[in-house]
Amino acid sequence: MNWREPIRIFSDPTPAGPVRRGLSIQARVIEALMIREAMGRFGHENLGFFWLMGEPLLLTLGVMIMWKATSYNHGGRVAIIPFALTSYSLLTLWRHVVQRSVRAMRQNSSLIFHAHIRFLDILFARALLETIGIFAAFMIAYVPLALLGYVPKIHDPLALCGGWLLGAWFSFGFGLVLAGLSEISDAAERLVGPVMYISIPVTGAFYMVEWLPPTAREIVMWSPLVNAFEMFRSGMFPAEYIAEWDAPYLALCAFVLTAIGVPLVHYAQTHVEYS
Amino acid sequence: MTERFAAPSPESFLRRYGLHLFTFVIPVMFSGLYFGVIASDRYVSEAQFVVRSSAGVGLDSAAALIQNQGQSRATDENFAVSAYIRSRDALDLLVENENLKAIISRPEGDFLNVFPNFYSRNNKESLFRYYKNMVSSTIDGASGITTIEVEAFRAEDAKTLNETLLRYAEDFVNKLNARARDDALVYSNLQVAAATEELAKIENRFTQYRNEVGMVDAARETASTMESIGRLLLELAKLQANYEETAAITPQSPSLRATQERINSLHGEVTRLRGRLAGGNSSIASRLGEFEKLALERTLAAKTLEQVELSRQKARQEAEQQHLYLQTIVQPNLSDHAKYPRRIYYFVATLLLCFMLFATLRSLTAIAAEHVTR
Repeated sequence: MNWREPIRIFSDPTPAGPVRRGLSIQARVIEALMIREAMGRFGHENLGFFWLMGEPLLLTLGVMIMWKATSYNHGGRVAIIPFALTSYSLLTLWRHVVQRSVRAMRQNSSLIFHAHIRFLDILFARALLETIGIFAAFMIAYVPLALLGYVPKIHDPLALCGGWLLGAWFSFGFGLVLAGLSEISDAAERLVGPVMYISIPVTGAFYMVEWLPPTAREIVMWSPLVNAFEMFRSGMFPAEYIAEWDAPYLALCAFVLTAIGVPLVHYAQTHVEYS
Repeated sequence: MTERFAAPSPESFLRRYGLHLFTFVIPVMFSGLYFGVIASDRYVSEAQFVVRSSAGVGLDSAAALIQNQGQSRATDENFAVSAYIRSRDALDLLVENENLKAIISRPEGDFLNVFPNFYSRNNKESLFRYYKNMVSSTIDGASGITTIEVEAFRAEDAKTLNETLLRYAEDFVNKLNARARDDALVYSNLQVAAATEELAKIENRFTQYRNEVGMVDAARETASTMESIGRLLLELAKLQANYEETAAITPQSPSLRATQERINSLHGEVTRLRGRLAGGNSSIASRLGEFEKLALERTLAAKTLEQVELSRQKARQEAEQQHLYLQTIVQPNLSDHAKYPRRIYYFVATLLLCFMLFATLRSLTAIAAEHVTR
């Protein structure tokens, strides 16, 4: 790495500057890494990389059936099945993206042998794969349930997709920070598990802000993930069930995490223990 | 890759420092210029009030206490007043009475904060959006106290607007009161009117019947007839005794015939009166039933009227008791310090964000460039 070298962002098209050429190579690398990741994890046996969607799908469906069967009372006005569907989809995204970022650099250090692959590409490819895969799982679960009438029709597709993407961006940013920290310090890595577990209440996966008393609402809305959940749910449920979410705030939090994470990953590249 | 190490050509300044310039130096300069020089002071006037109801003594307040233990919500009226303050209705009133449009386009205002400015349209909708940024109204869930904050380019403006808004809020509360009282009374008024009409109708029917049968009161008529019969019978008994006495002492007395005549006529009178009392179609007894029925109906109607009148009085009392009033806790203040804009805060925020943007882009471009440089 060399920060002193000229950065050509306003370069003329011929010859293309290193950044522009690098970006086009990067795009191809990320694409290839996504396929490699999917194939490497799930292989060609039985369903192949359908398991990318199958895993979250099974989890979500299982929880939905369990809650429905035990008539678990969550205290809200919305039905249990759409609530479980939205909760578990986004929660799975958050957990998968973050967990697959930790130690990702060390695990994949062998790939760096290829000159065109950088650590950020690996992290980005993984996050993108999860984002697409779990959303596909959500849709696969959603369509039949909607046809059977168990879930309401999508109320606001833009909020649904926006909430999903912003949630994914936030998770990716958080993952970047953890990826960088886990290379620099082992202690940071040990903290990830407990922190992820304890942070479940502030994700907003198991409640809707509307159920809470006003004072608690104000506190909880400081959590970016709660905003992401509310935004995602506002795509599904009518506005009367949804607290007022703040997309710019969520984007700002995601941006700040990315702004910490990207330089951190860039810096941590030199600290990776190659195995 | 040899080109990296080529000597920089004269035009490469932008390439070398373009990212620094456009993501950090220039935005921060603009931010410093705006927050340091251009941005106009905005003064805030703050007032606090609470909407209270004079009801809620005794049992009610104990129940309310228990209800409020889990959740501390302000009353519905608090929310209504708070919503009203930030409504189009209040805005229209302000524009009409307080010349709001002049206040928000004062020459002190900077080009971004005045209304209308270069990017907002000069219509009602934009004005309303501006108004909602300018006036805030927050309810404290625990205490139910509402805080209104009005900002303006001049401290006096902010104070005047805040005072006016408080007045509007009070008017609004009074309107709510009038409405509640009217609603409560309308029903009982209707009931009283119906009961009165019913009573008048029965009274009318009674009079008509009296005229029809030529009798004011059957019961009294009966009593007086019985009395006459009694008197006649007494006289008859006296005459009878007199007649028998005379007949025994002087059987040829000429007065005997006259007495006999009187006895006969008295007998006839008694029979006639008895006939009038009972038996036959026009007897008093046959009318007594109808009279009693009408009297009962009249009593019932009078009782109903009394009851309805009582409940109307109660409704009025209740409405008076639940009277809402707006209690101002803190009068609008005249600020001597411009609370907004928070110049240093926003300048530092811009600085940090721009630095983050710059650092991210620099890392990203560096990582992207690493794809070719190795």
